[in-house]
Amino acid sequence: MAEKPLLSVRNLTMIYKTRKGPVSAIDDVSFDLKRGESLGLVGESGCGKTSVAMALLRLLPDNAQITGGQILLDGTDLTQLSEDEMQHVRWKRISMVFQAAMNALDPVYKVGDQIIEAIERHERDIDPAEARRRVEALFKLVGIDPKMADRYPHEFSGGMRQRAIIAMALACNPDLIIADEPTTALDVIVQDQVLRELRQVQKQMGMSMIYISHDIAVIAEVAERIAIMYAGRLCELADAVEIFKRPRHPYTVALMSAFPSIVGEKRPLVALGGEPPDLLFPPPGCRFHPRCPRALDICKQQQPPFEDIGGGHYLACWNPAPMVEVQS
Amino acid sequence: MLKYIANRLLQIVVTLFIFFALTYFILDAQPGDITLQYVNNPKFTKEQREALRRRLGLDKPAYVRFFQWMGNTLRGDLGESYQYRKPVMDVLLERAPRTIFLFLTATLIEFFVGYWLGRVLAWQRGTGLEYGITVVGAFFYTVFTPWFALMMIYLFGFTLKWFPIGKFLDVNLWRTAPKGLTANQIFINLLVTMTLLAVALVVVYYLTRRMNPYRASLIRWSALIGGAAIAVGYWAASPVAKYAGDILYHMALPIIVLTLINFSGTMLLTRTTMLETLREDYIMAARAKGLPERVVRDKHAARNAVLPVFTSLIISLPFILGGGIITETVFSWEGLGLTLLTASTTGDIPLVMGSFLFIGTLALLAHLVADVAYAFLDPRIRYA
Ligand SMILES: Nc1ncnc2c1ncn2[C@@H]1O[C@H](COP(=O)(O)OP(=O)(O)OP(=O)(O)O)[C@@H](O)[C@H]1O
Ligand code: SF4
Ligand SMILES: [Mg+2]
Repeated sequence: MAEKPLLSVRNLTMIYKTRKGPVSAIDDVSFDLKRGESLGLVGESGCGKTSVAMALLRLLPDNAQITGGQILLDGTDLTQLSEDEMQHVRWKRISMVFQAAMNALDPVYKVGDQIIEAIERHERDIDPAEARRRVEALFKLVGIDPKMADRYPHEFSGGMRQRAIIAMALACNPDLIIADEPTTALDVIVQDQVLRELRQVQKQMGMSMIYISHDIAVIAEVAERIAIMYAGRLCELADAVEIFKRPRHPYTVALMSAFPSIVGEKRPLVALGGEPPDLLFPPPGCRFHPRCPRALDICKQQQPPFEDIGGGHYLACWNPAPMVEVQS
Repeated sequence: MLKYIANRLLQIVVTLFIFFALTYFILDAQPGDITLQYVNNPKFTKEQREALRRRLGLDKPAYVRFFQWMGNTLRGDLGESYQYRKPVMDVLLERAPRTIFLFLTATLIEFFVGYWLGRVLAWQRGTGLEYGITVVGAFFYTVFTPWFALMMIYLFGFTLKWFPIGKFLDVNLWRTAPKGLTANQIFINLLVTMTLLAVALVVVYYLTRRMNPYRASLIRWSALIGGAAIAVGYWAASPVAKYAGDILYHMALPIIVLTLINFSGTMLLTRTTMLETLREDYIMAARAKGLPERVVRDKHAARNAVLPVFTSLIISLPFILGGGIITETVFSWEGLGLTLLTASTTGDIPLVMGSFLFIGTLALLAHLVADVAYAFLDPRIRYA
C-alpha cells in the first residue's frame, strides 16, 4: 500500500567522457523519494553527489552522458524529455541550492529581479506587483530585510546571499529542492542557522528535499532518510535512525565510527586506509573492496546488488556487518 | 559621483597641460621650420624668409612661444595655420566632422559586428563554424593594413567600379550644389542625426532593461529599425539628399575596410570573455531556473561579457578622434589624421597644437563619459 513516490531514480548510470576515457561518476543508482520527505545524500568528495544532483536537473556539462536508467518524476521520465520540456521542470518542479551558492547570483542584476525572473519564467501571466510581493514575503521567510530585494549581490554578506538563494529556490513553490552542500562556504554558526531554517521552511511548505553533504553530522540534523554513496554507487540507504543505530555496510560503519555519537562520548575513529578509487578505472566487483576490512573473494569479482533487506533498508554488500545495535 | 567627475576634470586639465608642453617642445626640437618650405622658391630670398620667421615669432625661444600659445589658447585664439594662412580653428572645424563621422560610424559597426560574432562563436564552440570564423578573423587581425586597403580599392573601386576611389565627395556633382551648401554642413548634420539616434537607443535600452528579455529585445530591435528608418526618411526627404547620399557612398569602402580590419579584435575578445563568463556559477543558476538558452546567453552571459569589450571600446575612442592616418592617407580622406600628419612634417606648429588640443580634449572627455557610463553597466563600480 505504499504511496507512489514523487521521485523515483531507477538504475541511473552516467559517465563523463574525457580524453583518458570515460569517468564512471554515477553507476546504477536507484532510490525513491516520497512527497514531503527529506533525503540526505552522503559521501566523500568526488563520489558523485553533485553529479547526481545535476543529472536530476539535466544540467550536466557537455561531456557528460546519461547511459542508462530512468529519473521518474511523478511517473514522467526526465531522461526522455526534450530540452524545451526540461526547462519547464527546472525550478518549477525541481529547484536547487548550489554548492557554490556564493556566486550563483548574477552580479549585474538586483537580487529581487533575479528571483522575479524565475517566477515570471514559470508563471507567464503573473502581475509584476504580485511577483514583487512574493519576493518580499520570501525574503522575510528566510530572514532578510525585504528592502534588500533592490540591492545588488555584492552588497550582500555571504550568509545573506545564501539565504537569498534559498528564497530563490522556494520562489516557484517546487516539489523538490536539491541542496548541494548549501552551507559549506559559511562560518559554522551561520551554517547551523541556515540549515535549521531551510529544514523548517521545507517542512512548513511540504516539499521534498535532497540534502547533499560530505558531513554525516550535518545530514543527521535535516534528513529523515539517508543514502550513503561511494565511488559513484549507493551502498546503503535507510531511515536516519536505522543508519545510525544499525549500519550494515562496512563503509557506513566506518563513517559512523568517525562520527561522534550524538549524545554519548566520542568513539575512537576507525581509520579507513587508502583513498577512494579513481573513477576512470573503478575497481571491479564492489568498488569498496580495496579498502574494505570485511572483503571476501566474491567482492573482487561481482558487484553486490542494491537490495531491500527489510523495512526499506537498502544495502549493497556481500558480507555486511553483523546486526548489532550500536550503543550510544 | 559629482565629486569624482570634478576630480577627473581637474586631472584632465593637468594632463592636457603636460601633454601640450611635451608636444610643443618635441615639435620645436625638430630640425628646420615652416620657412624651409620656401627654400627652393626663387621668389623668396633669404632675407624674406628671415622676415617671415620674425613675423611668425619663430626667432623667440620656445618656452616664450609656448606660454604665448597657452595664453592665446585660453583666450580662445588658436592662432593661424602657417600653411593655410587661415585661423587654425577654421581648419579644424572643417576637418574634424569628416574624421569623426567616418571613424565613429566605422567603430560602432565594427564593435557591433565583433560583439555579435563573438557571442555566436562562444555559443558554437567546438564546431566547424567557430573554427572557420576564427581563422577568417585571425587573417584580418594580422593583415597589413595599407596593403589590404589598397587591394580593396583596386578590387572594388578600380576593377569592379562598385565604389568611388578616394576623396569624400564627387566634385562634379558638388559643382551643381545649391549656393552656401558645404560638405561640412552635411557631415555635421549627419553627426547630429547619429547622436540623436544613439541617445534615443540608449534611453530605450535603459527603459527596457528589466523587461522580459523577449519583449525587451523586440522593443530594442523595433527602436533600432524604427529610428534608423526615421533618420533615413528624414534625409531622403531633405533637399540635400543627393549630396548626403554622395558622401555616404564615398564612405562605404573606407567603412568596409575599417570594419574588416578591426572587427576580429572585438570578436576574439568577446569570445574569450563569453567563454569565461559561461563557466560562472550564475550561468548555471540561470539555466537551472529553466530560462531558455537564448535568455541565458543574451541576458546573463553576454551582458557580463560586454564589460571588458566596453573597456576596449573606451580605449579605442581617441583613435576615432585622431583618425587613422594610414586610412585617411590611403583613401585621400582629408580629415584630422591627414591634417596632423602634414602639419607636423611641415612644422606648422599652430595647426599641430590646435589638432592635438582638439583631439586630446575630446579624447579625455570621451574617456570620462565612458567611465561614468561604465558605472551604469557594472553595479559593482562605485566612484567615490
Ligand atoms: N566535467 C567533468 N568531466 C570529467 N570528470 C568530472 C567532471 N565533473 C566531475 N567529474 C568527476 O566525477 C566525479 C564525481 O564528481 P562530483 O562533483 O559529482 O563529486 P561530489 O561528490 O559532488 O564531490 P564534492 O564533494 O567534491 O563536491 C569526480 O571524480 C570528478 O572528478
Ligand atoms: S561487498 Fe565486500 S568489499 Fe564490498 S563492502 Fe561488502 S564486504 Fe566490503
Ligand atoms: Mg559536489
